[in-house]
Amino acid sequence: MKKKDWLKILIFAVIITGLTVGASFFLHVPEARDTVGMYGFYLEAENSIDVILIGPSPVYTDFYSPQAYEEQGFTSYGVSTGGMSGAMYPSAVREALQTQDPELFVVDLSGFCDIDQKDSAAVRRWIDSIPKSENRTQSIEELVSDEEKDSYRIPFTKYHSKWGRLKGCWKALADKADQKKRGYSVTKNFCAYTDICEAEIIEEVYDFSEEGFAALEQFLSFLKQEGIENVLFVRFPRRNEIIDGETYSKGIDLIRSENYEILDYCSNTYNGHKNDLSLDINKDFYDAEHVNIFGAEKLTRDLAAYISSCLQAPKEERNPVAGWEEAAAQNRLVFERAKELTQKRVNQGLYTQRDFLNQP
Amino acid sequence: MTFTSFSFLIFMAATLVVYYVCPKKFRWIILLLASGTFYGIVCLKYMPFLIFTILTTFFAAIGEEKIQDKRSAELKSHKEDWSSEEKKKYKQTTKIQKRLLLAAPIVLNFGILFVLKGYLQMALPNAGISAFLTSIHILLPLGISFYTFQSMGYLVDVYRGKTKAEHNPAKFALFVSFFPQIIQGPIAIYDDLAKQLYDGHDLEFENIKFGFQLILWGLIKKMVIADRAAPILNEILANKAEYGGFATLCAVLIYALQLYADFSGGIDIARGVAQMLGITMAENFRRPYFAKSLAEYWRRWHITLGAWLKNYLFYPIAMSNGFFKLGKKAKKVFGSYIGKELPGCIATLITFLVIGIWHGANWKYVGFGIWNGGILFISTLLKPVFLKMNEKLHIREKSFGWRLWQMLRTFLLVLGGYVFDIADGLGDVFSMLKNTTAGAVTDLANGTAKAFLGSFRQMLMNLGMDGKDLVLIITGLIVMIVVSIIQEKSQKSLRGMIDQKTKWLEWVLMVAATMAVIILGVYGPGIKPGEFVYMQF
Repeated sequence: MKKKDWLKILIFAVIITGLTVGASFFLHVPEARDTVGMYGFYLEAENSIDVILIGPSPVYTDFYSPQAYEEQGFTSYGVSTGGMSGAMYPSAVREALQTQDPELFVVDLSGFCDIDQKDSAAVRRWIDSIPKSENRTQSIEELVSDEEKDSYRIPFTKYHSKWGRLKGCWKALADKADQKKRGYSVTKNFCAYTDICEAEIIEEVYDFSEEGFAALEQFLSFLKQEGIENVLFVRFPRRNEIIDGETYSKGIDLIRSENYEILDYCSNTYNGHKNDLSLDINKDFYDAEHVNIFGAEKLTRDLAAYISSCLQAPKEERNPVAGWEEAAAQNRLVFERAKELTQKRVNQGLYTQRDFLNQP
Repeated sequence: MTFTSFSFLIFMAATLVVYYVCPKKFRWIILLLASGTFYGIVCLKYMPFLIFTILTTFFAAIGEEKIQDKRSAELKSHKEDWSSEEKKKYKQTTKIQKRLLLAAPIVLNFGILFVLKGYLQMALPNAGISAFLTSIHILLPLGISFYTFQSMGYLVDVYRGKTKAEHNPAKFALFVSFFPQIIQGPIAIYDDLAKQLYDGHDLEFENIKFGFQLILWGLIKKMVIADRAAPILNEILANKAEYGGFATLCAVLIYALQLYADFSGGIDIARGVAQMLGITMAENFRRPYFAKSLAEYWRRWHITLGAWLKNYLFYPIAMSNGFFKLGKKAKKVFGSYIGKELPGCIATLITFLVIGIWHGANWKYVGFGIWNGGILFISTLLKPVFLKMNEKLHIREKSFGWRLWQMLRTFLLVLGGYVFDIADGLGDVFSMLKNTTAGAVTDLANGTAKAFLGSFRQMLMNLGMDGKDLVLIITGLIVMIVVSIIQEKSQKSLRGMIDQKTKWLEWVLMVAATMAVIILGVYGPGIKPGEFVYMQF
C-alpha cells in the first residue's frame, strides 16, 4: 500500500471518530428533562446551595426552588431524575456533596415505595444524567447489573438509538447551551405539567415495598456513616385518599427512631400538613401523584417556610446569591405561562427556560 | 461473538494486523489460528465435532489418493502381463475400496448431522434421543452443516480425481474452518478457495477498501434492516390468530425482506472480511427476487448450496443408470420430451426434498421441499403446454410487462415457500396459506386489515419502536431495490462502478454508510447481537 492510501485510511478514521464523538455528545440524552435539570446543578457555584432535595419526580414537579428563594431566601436544588428510587439516594447524596455542602437534605419518601429499586430505566436516567466521576463509577457498581455495565462505560451503545428522538436531543442541547451561556439554570430542575386531573378519587394504600424498606435501612445507615444529621423526610401530596401501609408505618418508626424529621402532606398524623396545605383536588393536581403549577405554588410556599424554620440562619441574614436573583425575577413569567397552559388544559411538560418563556 | 458484535470488530482488526505483519509464508498459519480462536470463542465445546470432520475427511482423502496412485502404478506395471479381464477385475476391486473409503466418512459426518439436527428423534420419536442430547448439553454445533458440506464436497472431488488431496492436516483444517465462512457459508469448493488461503497475500488498498465496503453493506442489511424488521415479524407470527389473514400476509412479506437482508448481509460481511485478507469468496446471492422462474430463483439464492447439491446430489442421481433407464422407458410411453426431462425432474424433486430436510427435522420442511420441487417438476414437464399457451395468447415474452409478471409470479411462489419456513408446523402451513390468500381478501373487505394497520403504531410502541423505525425499514428496502436494479441492469458490482466514476462520492458514501451502521444499527444493552437466521441450519 502506498503512503497516499494510508493517509486516506487515516483521514477516514479521523472523520468517523469525529462524527461518532459528535453524535455521542448530541444523542447522549437519557431523558431531555432529566438531562437539562441535572445540567443546571453543576453550574451552581460551589457550596452555594443551602438545601438539596432528593427523590423522584414529585421533587421537581411539586417544589419550585426560585419561588422558595424569593419567599424564604434560601437556595435549593432538586438532585432528582424521573423514577429515582430509594436505592439511588446514597448515590444522589454523594453526588450533591461533590460540589455542595448543604445545610439540609430533603428526601422524598415515595422512592421507597417501588418494588424494583434498581429499575434499569430509572437507574439509567439517574446515572447517565451525572458526569463521569468516582461516584458515577461507584453508582454503576451498586446499581447496574453486570450485563449492562459496559453500556454505561460506553454510553453510545445505548444512546445511538436516540436518532429517532432528535427533537428531544436538540431541545436538551439548546437548553444546555442557554444555561452555559447564562451561567446558571433559570428553572433549577423544575418541571410543570400543564393539565388538571379529573379522575375519580379512590382509596390508595401508600406503602413501602419490602425492597424499599431494605433501601431505607441502607440509606439511614449511609446517612449515619456519612455523619449527615440534618435530613427532612417528606411525603409529597397525593390526590387520592391515602391509607398508610404496614411497612410504611414501620419505616416511619425507623426514621423517627434515628431522630430524623418527617413532614407529611398526605395526612395530618405525625407531622401532617395536609390540612395546612389545603390543595384543591379539582384544580391543583396534574395526576394522582403530582401537583400542577397551582399546587406547586402552594406546596412550595408551605414547604419553603417549613424548611426555612429548620435552617440555622434566619431569612433576613441570608445574602443574595448571584444567578438566583435573576432566576427569581423570572418567577412571575414562569408561573404565568404554566398557569395559562394549565387552565387551557394544554398537556405539556415545561422544563426549559424557552418552554416557560414561550420562546422558540 | 457474531459478525455484528463489537468483539468481532476487534477480532477482525487484530487478525488483519497480525496477518499482514507476519511473513507471507506464515500467513496461512495466522488464518488457521484466527479460525481456531474464533470457533473456540463461539463454541469451544463443539470443537471436537469440527476436529472429527477435519480428521476423517483428511485421512479419507489421503487414502483415496493412495488407492488411486497405487491403482495407476499397478495398472502401469502390469500393462503387458494382465489380461483385460484381470485389469477390469482389479479396477473393480479398487473401485469398491474407494467407494467404501468415501462412504465411511460421509456416513459418519452426515450421521452426526442427522442425529444432532434431530432427524433421528423425528424417525424414532420414542427413543428419547433429544432428551439424551439435552441431558449431556449437546445442541447443534455452529456451522456444522456448512463445514460438513464443504469437507464432503472436497472428499468427493478427491474421489472423482478432480482435486488432489491436501497432505498438510493444518492446511486442510484451515480450509474447513476458515472463520468468515464457517457460520453460514458460502460453501466453498476446495480448488477455488484452498490456494487463496495458503498463499500469503500482499496488503492491497483496493482489497481493504472493497472488503470494507462489502462489510458495511452487509452490516446495513443485517443491523439496520433485518434486525429492525425481526421483532415486528415475531410479534405478528406469535399472535397471528389475533391479527388475522392480512397481517399474516404482511408477516410473510416482512419475512421475505428480513431473511434476504439477514442472510445476504451475513454473507456480504463474510466475503468482505475475506476480501480484506486478499481472499475472494464465491458469490452466494444474485438478486434472487428478480428471478423470472422458480428455477432461476434457486440459481440466484444460496448459490453455493445450490451448486453443491447440483454437483454432489442432483447429477449423481440424474446421471445414474437407474434414471437413465427410467428416461428410456418414459420416452417410449410419453414421448421424447418427457423421456428427456423426467429423470431430471425426479432428481430435482429429490434434491429439493433434501434441501427441505436439511433445513430442519420438521415435516413442514419436507413440505417446503415438495412445494419447491413439485412446482419445478410440474412446470418443467408442462413447459411445452405453457409455451403453446403463450403463443396462442400472443404474449411477447421479451416485453417488460411479461417479464414483470414473471417476476411477480415467481415472487409469489417463493412467498408460498416461505410460509413453510415461518409456520409452526405442517398443519399450520395450510391454515397460513389459506389466511394469507382468502383470509387476507376477507380482511380487506371487512375492515380487519384497516384495523390492523391502525393498530400498527401501537404494536410498534409495544415493541419499543415507532413510525421512524418503519420509515427506516422502508427506506432500507428502497435502497436495496435501487442497488439491485442498478446491479441487475449493469451486471457489475456497484462498488466498482462508483470507484471508476467519482472518487469523492465513494468516500462520502463510505462515511455515510459507516455512520448509518453506528447510529441506525440495532445494537446495545438489552439487545442480543443479532444472530443470523441461517446459523440455525
